[in-house]
Amino acid sequence: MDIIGGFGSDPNLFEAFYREHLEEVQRFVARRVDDPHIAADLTADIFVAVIEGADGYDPRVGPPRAWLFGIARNVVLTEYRRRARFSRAIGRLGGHRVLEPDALEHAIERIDAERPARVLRTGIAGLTPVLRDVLELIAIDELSVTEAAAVLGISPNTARVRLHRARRQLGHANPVANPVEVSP
Amino acid sequence: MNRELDTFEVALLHELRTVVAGRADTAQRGPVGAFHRGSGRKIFLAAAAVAATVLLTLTPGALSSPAYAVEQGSNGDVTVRIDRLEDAQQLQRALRGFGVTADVRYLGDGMQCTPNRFQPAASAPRSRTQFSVGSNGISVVLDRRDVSQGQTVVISASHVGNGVHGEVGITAGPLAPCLPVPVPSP
Repeated sequence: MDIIGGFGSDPNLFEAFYREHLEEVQRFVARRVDDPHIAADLTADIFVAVIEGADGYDPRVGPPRAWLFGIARNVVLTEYRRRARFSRAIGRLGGHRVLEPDALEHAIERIDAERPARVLRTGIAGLTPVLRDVLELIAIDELSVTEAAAVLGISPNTARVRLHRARRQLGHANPVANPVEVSP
Repeated sequence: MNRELDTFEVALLHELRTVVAGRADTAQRGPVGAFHRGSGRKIFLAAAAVAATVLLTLTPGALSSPAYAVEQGSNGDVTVRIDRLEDAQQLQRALRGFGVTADVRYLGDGMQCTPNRFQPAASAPRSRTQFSVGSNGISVVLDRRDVSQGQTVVISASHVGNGVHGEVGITAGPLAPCLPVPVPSP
C-alpha cells in the first residue's frame, strides 16, 4: 500500500490505512497489555504517531508493515517506561478512554485470544534484549526476518544470526524457539 | 479488515480523521498555522498531560444552542460537553448541582493559565475520567470516584487561531490564581 506519504494530510487515505491495519495493531497491543482500557489508549497513541510520522516514511528502509510495527513497538515501550517511572507516583491524572460495552467486549475477547502470546513473551524474558527483540517480532508477532530487521534497524543477516542465537539459548523445549520463518 | 467497527473504533477513527484534517489545514495556512502542528497527539495524552489543543470549527447553527451540557450517568459519572467558550460561571453552578466543585475559566485568545497552579489529585483505580478536545467541542467525563472527596475540577480554555486550547485537571489541594500567559507554540 503506497499511501503512507499522503495520509498524514488526507483523511480518506488515512481511513483506508486505519481500516486495513487496525486489527493487527490491536492484536499487537493485546500481545503486550492485558488491560482493555490501556490497550485502547495505546491503539490511539499508535495511530496518532503513525499520522505524525507519515511524512517521514521511507519505503527504502522497510515495507509499510515493518514501519507500522516499529511505531507500535516504540509507543508500547514508551508506555512501559512511563508506567515504570510513575508506578509509585501519584497515578494518572485523568484516566483511560471510556469503552462502551461492545468495544469492551471486543477488547476483552482480543486480549483473551492473545493470552498465549503474552505467556510466550514471559517465557523469553530471560534473553538479552538484543536477542529477545528479534525473536519476539518473528515468533510472536509473525513478522518476516526482513520485516523484523527493518523494525529494529538491522540487516536481515544480523536478524537471522540473532534469531539463531536466541533459539540456541532457549533450547528446543521452548515453543518460541522454533518459529516458522515467513518469506518477506 | 472487513468487519464492522465497534464504538471505540468508530470514535477513534473520527478523532483521527479530525487530526489529519487539521494537519491539512495547517499545511495550507503555512507558518502561522504551524502553531497547531502536533496538536493531535495531545488529544490522546490529555489524561496525563491535562492539556490539549485542536482545531475546532463551529457551525453557524451552533450559536443558537446551549454553550454547554452537563449530564450524570446511572453510575454517577458526570459528562460535561462544552460547545462554545461562554457562560463559565453557569457551567460551574451546573456542575455544583451535580455535586462537583469546579473552577472554569475561558481566557482571551491564545492565552492559558500559568502552569502548575495545582497539584493533580490521584485518580481512582482504572478511572473512567477522560478529557478530549475535538471538532465537536470539549468533552470531559468525570469518574464519580475522582470527584467525590471534595476535589476541584479545573477547566480553562481559550481560542487559538481557528482552534481551541483546553486544559483540564483535578486537584484535591489548593488552587493558585489563574494568571493568563500566552499558549506556547508546540
